[in-house]
Amino acid sequence: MANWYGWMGTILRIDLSKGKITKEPLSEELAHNFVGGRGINSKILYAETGPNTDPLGPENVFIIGTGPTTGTLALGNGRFTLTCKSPLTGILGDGSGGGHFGAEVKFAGYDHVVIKGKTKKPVYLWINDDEVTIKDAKHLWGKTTWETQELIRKELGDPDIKVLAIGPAGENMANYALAIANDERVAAETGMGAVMGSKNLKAIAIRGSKSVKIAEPDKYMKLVREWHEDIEKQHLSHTHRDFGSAYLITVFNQVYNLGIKNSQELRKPDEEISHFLAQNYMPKVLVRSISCFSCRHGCQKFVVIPDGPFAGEKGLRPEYGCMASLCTQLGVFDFGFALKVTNLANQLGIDAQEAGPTIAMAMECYQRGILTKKDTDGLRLEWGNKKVILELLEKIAKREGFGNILAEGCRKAALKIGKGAEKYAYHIKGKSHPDRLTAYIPCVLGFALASRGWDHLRGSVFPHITPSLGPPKFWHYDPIYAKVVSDREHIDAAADMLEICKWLTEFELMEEGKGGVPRMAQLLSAITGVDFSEQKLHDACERNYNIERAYLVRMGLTRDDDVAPHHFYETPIPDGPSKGKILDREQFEKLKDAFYELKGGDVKTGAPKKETLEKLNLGYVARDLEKIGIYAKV
Amino acid sequence: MRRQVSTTRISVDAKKCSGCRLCEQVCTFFHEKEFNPRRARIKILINEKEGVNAPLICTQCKTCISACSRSALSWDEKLGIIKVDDKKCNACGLCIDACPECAIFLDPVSNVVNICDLCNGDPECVKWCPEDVLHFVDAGKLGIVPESLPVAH
Repeated sequence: MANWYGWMGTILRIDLSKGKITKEPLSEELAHNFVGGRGINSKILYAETGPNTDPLGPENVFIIGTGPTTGTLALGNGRFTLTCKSPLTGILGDGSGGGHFGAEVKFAGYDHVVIKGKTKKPVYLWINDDEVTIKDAKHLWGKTTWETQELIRKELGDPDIKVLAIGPAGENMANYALAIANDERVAAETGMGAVMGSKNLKAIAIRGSKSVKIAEPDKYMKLVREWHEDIEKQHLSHTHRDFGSAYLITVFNQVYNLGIKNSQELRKPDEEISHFLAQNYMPKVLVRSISCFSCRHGCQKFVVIPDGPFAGEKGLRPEYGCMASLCTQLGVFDFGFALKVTNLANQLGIDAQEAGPTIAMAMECYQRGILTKKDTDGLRLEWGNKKVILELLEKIAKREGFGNILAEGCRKAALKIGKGAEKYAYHIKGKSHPDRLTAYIPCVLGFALASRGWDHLRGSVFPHITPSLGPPKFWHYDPIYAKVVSDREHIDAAADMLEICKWLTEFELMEEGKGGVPRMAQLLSAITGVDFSEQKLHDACERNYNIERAYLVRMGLTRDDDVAPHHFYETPIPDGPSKGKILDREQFEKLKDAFYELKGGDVKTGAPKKETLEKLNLGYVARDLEKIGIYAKV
Repeated sequence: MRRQVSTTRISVDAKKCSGCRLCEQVCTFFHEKEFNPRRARIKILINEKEGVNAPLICTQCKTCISACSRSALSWDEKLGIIKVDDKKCNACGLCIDACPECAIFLDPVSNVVNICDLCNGDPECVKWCPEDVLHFVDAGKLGIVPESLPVAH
C-alpha cells in the first residue's frame, strides 16, 4: 500500500549488537491480520523468539507498538505497548503505557520499533524523524528515570522531546523493572525495563514531525463526536475522572474485598482509614487534572500532599494498583505515603504491582517466623513499617542483599526463601497482583486465562460492566460466564490492537449495543480506509488470542497453568458476607472447558486446534505446534 | 506608537490546563485534515513532573508584523487576525524569535510559519477544550489593556 492512513507504514528495526538501523515497510498482510499495537507486537514476538530465547539475552526482542488510532483524536488514543519475552514469567510479556510517548512514535513515522541485540556500553537511542542515532549513555547510567529524562532533554536541547527510560532497577535487571515515559507514564507489567537494561539501553528519546492521515475525515469526526458524547453520559466515567481507579479502594473495602496484609484481612472500618479514601483526600490534595495525549477524559490528577510526614510530596495521584500493592497489602493506610512510595517506584523503575505482593509475601514470612532479621539484612519486615518498605524498594532496584532475592519477583523469591514460603506467594503464571478472590466468578476466570499471567485487563469481567446479565450473581458458575469472558477478551484485545485506553472501552460496555468491537471496527475503517467489518476485527482478535496462546503452548504451558492463585482454592474467606467461601475447582474447570471450546481450542490441553488456526490464516502456527507434537495424539 | 486593539482573541486560564493537547489536534485537523501537533497554531508546553501545562497561543499583538523583513505578515482588519503570505515567507524565523508569546510555529510540511487565524471566527480549540481553559472573548473584557504596551521595534 503506497498511501497509508492511520498506520505510518514503517517498522523501525535496530540491531544494537551490530549498530545497524533499518526501516522495513509495514506489510499489508500484517496490518490487516493483526491491526497494530499489541496485535502486531505479539505476532513479532511469536515469530522471533521462542522457548530457547533467554529473556535477558541479546536474542530477546524489545518491541514498541502503536496502533492505527494512536496520535489521532479518538478517545484514549495515547496508549502504546511494549512487548518482550518476560524475565519475570518466562512467557509472553508486555506492558502498556499512556501519556504522550506513543503518539510521538507515530509522528516520527513509525508504527513499531523492534530492538534486538546488546551494546557493549550503556547507550540511548535518539529517534528524530528519519534520523536514528545510538548515543553514549555512560553519564546516565545509575540515574533515576526522572533524572535521565531531564538530562536527555537538556542534552538534546528541546524540552518537548518524549523519553522512555529505565531506572536503576532496569539497569540491574530486577525481574519486574519497568520502562517509564515522561516521568509518570509507566509500561509496568512483566519486566520490560529489565529487558532494556539487559541490552544496555538506558532510554529512547523521540521527536516527530510527520502527519497521521485519516482516510475518511468527516465520517471519522462524526464517530469521535458521538463517542465523546456517549462517554459523557456515563455515570462511572465521571467517578473515574474525579477519583481515578483509587475509588476502588473505597468500593472494595465496603464489600469486604480489599487485600490487606497479603490478603489475610479484607476490610477496615471506614472511619479507621477515612483519610485513605479517595472521596476524603482528593479535595485536600488536588491541584489539577492531567491528561494523556489527545484525550478529553483527564482521569489523572496532579496532587500535592499538604501536611503530615510526607508534606510537599507531589506527583500524579497513584492508581488503585499501586495503593493496594504497596499500601494496603503491606498494612499501610496513608495517602501521603502512597504518593511517596509510588514516586519512588517510578524513579527507580519498579513495577508496584509485583513489588507489593513480593514484599507482602516476605512480610507474611516474617510474621510467621520463616524469615528473621538475620535473613533480611537486619530489617524488621513488620506490617505497616513505611521506612522498611521504602528501603526495600531501593534494595530491590540495586539487587542488594535481601533485595536481590525480592528482585526475582514473588514466585521465584518465595522459592529462594524456601521453608514453605511458597504458601504465601500468590501469582498466576508467575505474575502477581494485589487482588483477592472475588465473589464474581467471571472476574476470576479472566485472571486465570489471561496470556501474560494474573491480569485484570484481558478478559476479566467486573459486575458493573455486564448490565446485560442483570444484577450480578455471586458465587455462581453459570455457563454463560465463559462467553462473557470470551467476549470481554475480544474487546480488550481490540482495544490493545487499536491502542485505545481500557477505561474508555470499559465504559462503552455500560451502554448496551453501543460499545465494544462494532464501534471500534467503524472507527478503524474510517481511520484506515480498510473495510474493517465487525467480523474482520473479531477475526483479528481471535488471531491475537490464538497466536499468544500458541506462544505459551510452545513454552510447554497447558490448561493446568490457567488456574487461580492457590489460596483462592485453599484459604476460606475470613470475614463478611462471603465468609467461609473458596473457589470451587471442579466448577471453575467446567467454565474453562466452555471457554476453550468457544475459542476453538482443545479442551484437554487448552491449545488451539489445528482447524481453528488454519481458519484464521495461521497455518504456519499450526505447523509449528505440529512439529512439537501437540497434535500427535489427536 | 501604540498597539491597535483587536476586538476578539483567545484567553487562557493556564492553571486548569490538563495538557491533553486536544487543541493542537483539532487545530491541525481543521486546517489540514490530518493530525500533526507540529502543524498546529497552538501549543501546550508540558512539565509532567511539576504538573504544569502552559498553552502558547497568539494574542494578535502584531509584534511579528513589524519583525518580518519580507512583508509576509499583514493585519486582517476584518477578521482581526495576522495573515501569512505563503509565497513571501521564507521560513527565516525572525517572527518566531520576535513573538512574545512563543506562539508562531514553523510548519514542517509546508515550510512556512503558522499563526493562529481564529478558524474564521469560531476557534476549534475553544470548542474542544475539555477543561475550560480556552475562551473566545472580547479583548476589552479581559481586563488587559493592550494599548498601553508599546509596539516592539
